[in-house]
Amino acid sequence: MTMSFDNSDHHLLVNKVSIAYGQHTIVQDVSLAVAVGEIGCLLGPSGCGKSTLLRAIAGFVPLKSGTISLANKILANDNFCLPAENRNVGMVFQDVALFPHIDIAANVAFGLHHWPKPQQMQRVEELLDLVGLNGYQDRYPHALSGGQQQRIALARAIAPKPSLLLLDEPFSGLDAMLREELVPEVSAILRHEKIPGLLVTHDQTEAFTMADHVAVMNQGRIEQWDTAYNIYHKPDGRFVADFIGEGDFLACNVSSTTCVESPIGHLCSDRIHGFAVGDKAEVFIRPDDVLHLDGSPITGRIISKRFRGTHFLYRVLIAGNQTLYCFADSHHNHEIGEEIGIKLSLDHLMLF
Amino acid sequence: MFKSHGLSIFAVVIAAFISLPVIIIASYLVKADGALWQHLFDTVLNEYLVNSLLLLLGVGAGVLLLGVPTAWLTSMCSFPGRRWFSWALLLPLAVPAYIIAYTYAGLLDFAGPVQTWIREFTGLSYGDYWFFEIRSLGGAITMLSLVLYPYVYLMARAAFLEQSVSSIEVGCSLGYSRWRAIWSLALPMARPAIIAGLSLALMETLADYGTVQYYGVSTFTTGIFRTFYGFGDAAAAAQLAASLLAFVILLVLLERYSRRQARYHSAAESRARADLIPLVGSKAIMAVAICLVPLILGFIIPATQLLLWALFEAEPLGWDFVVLAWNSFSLAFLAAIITVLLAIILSYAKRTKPIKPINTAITMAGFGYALPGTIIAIGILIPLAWADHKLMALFEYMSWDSPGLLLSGSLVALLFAYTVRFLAVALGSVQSGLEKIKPSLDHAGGSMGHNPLAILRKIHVPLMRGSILTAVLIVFVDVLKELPATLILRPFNFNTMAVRAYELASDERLVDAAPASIMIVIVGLIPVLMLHASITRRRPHLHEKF
Repeated sequence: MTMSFDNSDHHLLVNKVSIAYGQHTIVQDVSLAVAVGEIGCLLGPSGCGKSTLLRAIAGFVPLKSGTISLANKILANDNFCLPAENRNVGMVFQDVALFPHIDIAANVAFGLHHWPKPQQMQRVEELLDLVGLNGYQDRYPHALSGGQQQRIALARAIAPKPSLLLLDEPFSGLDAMLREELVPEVSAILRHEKIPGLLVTHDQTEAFTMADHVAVMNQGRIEQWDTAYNIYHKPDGRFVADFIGEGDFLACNVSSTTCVESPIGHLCSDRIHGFAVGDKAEVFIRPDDVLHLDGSPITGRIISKRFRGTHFLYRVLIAGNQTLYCFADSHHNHEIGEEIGIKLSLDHLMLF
Repeated sequence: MFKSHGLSIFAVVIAAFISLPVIIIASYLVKADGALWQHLFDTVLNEYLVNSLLLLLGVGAGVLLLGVPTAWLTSMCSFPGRRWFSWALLLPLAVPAYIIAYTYAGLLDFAGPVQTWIREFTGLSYGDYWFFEIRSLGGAITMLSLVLYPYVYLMARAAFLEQSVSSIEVGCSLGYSRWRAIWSLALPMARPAIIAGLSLALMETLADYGTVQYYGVSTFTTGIFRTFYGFGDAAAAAQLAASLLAFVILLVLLERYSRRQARYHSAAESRARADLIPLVGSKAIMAVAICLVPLILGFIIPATQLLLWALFEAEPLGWDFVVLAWNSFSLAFLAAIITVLLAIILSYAKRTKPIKPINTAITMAGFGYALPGTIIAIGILIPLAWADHKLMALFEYMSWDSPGLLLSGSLVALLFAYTVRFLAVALGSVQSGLEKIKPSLDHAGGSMGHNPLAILRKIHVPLMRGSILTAVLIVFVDVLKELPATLILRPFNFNTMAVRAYELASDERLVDAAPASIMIVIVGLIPVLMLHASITRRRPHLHEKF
């Protein structure tokens, strides 16, 4: 899809950017904008071009066409590419890339080489306070844990007060517990420092936790650029619906401007869905749209189940050949093969 | 498996024997004979010391100059022929220093083709023109640098490849230009590895005998030979060997320290992407030139010259050469088998009982790689000669016929020396092979009802085969190239290819030395190519792409 943004109050502006390695186009006609104080996110499966786009914004990859500008200053277009070192764009890398031969203080101060020494020391201390690692100045990177290393990498990147921070899958090397702890922390630090950020990830939890706007990318294009809520609840296209969260497509016939007939009955939305009456369509059903209710007229047979502590996620077979996810209260422990009652709880329809 | 003390005790005994020569030479550092020291000091020590130091300094600078830029270019930049250079630059490692030394002497001497051509071309005659003297300290430094730079190249390249490309990009995103980021990040991060490679090259420099002798530079090694053969003074030779040992120990400490540092300096994660800096135009031509110089001078010219001599000018090979080759190959094979067997015993002893005495024993036994052949030879001759005298006394007492020099005058001494010198190489390969067999594999085999012998046969043998063959091959080739220890310890009238090539060259029969030399170079290529293959295998993703 193609979008364009006007320049006003947008900080980072990526306008109709294409990137190619030789004949091979990696990113095609991509536009997005990040406002001051915002965090954006590029979300997509591996190989979708999200990292390449990030590296182009950083200045490591030239553009084939389009424009990238930051604070109304052009960083790159089809025949110009400002060197990375002159962009004032910070970057945190997936492999951390702390300099192993110098201590933590020197790592954080690395980008402050043109600052006077006392200010450098002060800034280093300020940042180590911010990431909760004050007192580690004299240690070396190899003596730090993975999470500590990533905190230092963040401190190092934001030390020179960049006008934009790029984060290239910074949490993918960490274990789940640590990630849970670090993601909101990094988000808070960026907002505290008022540095707009752009995160690249393939993990939607990370994206939803950190970002104000998420770009879902697929095969070099942005499928949707929207808030996390809209990406989940109003996916723009089958790819986004399928890629974000879990869910199933059900074949249906459009019966009115707001309702469809499906194998699990008559489904209605609170708004006009835009499909013509009599059309064939597919309705997308999320697990939280299907609830378990004993005594409901609609039933399904359980074919698998996952216990998730707070709830059960059942996979049920309905109407003979259709499978759906179904949420159930954690006390409702049913056996595989059992017929259980289900109830649909849909506010709006995701029709494709 | 093998949970007996027997293996441990056996390992310690082996290690004690292996470290005997070093201990004997080291003892001369302590129980120094004052008068002898004074004499050495007054006469030769000063010259040896100054020449050895100048040689170290010169070769140090030379190998850094040749090794670091080539390593950097082939690992960080893309230019025509990069992949090819990355292994071709290892080729000079196959040429022993004494062979390149006499090849260049033959090329550049007054009567050599180069000067003859100059005279014919210009019409000048002797004395009319200046030409540099290859047989000099400068010449020796150049020759040693040309064949020893691959040590620096290898270590530096490995360090550069391990560096995260992100490091340079972090530098750029923090406001450093690409070249400044390289200078202040890539080089310092590779420094420990470069120094480790440098110390290996310097150890080889100290060990060299053939080059400095041929070029008439008096160093410790030539001094040891002269003292031992010229004056027949074993004590003085040992004293000199002890001084040399002191240098070697310093280098070993430097190397081990650097290797420890290098572990911390390597990035936690290996590079995800290989984004090479593209070089085009004049920069690409410069890069190619920088890589071509060491390759042409260190391998292509000497190898071509040797080949031409061997094919067109040397005496036709006769029965003599067959005997020579048989001597060399059988001796090298025997030495390789003995050395690798001992390495296997020591490695298994460490695996079954990783206790302090065994670890110390292995460290001691592995020290030999740093020792010049001359030190080992003198350190072996002294105890074996002593044992021979005792034996002769015993035979006389029993009224038997004198057996002659049963130990010091036979192949026993030579095999002993090779084992001491090359056990470390074999240990390295065998131990790395054994490390791949995690104890859990033994436990898994045991839990499936296999006894220790079956585990050995079904798990260890197949997994270890490659490492053991590698160890045998590397020791085999190293023995084939070895010169100084062979010169001192070989039995009367027993010649190897290395010794024969060296003797012919010393008699100015360079052309006739060529067939044996080219044979040594060709055999020497095998481990170099294997080395390249093993590096390639370790980093498949890099080589698939480029």
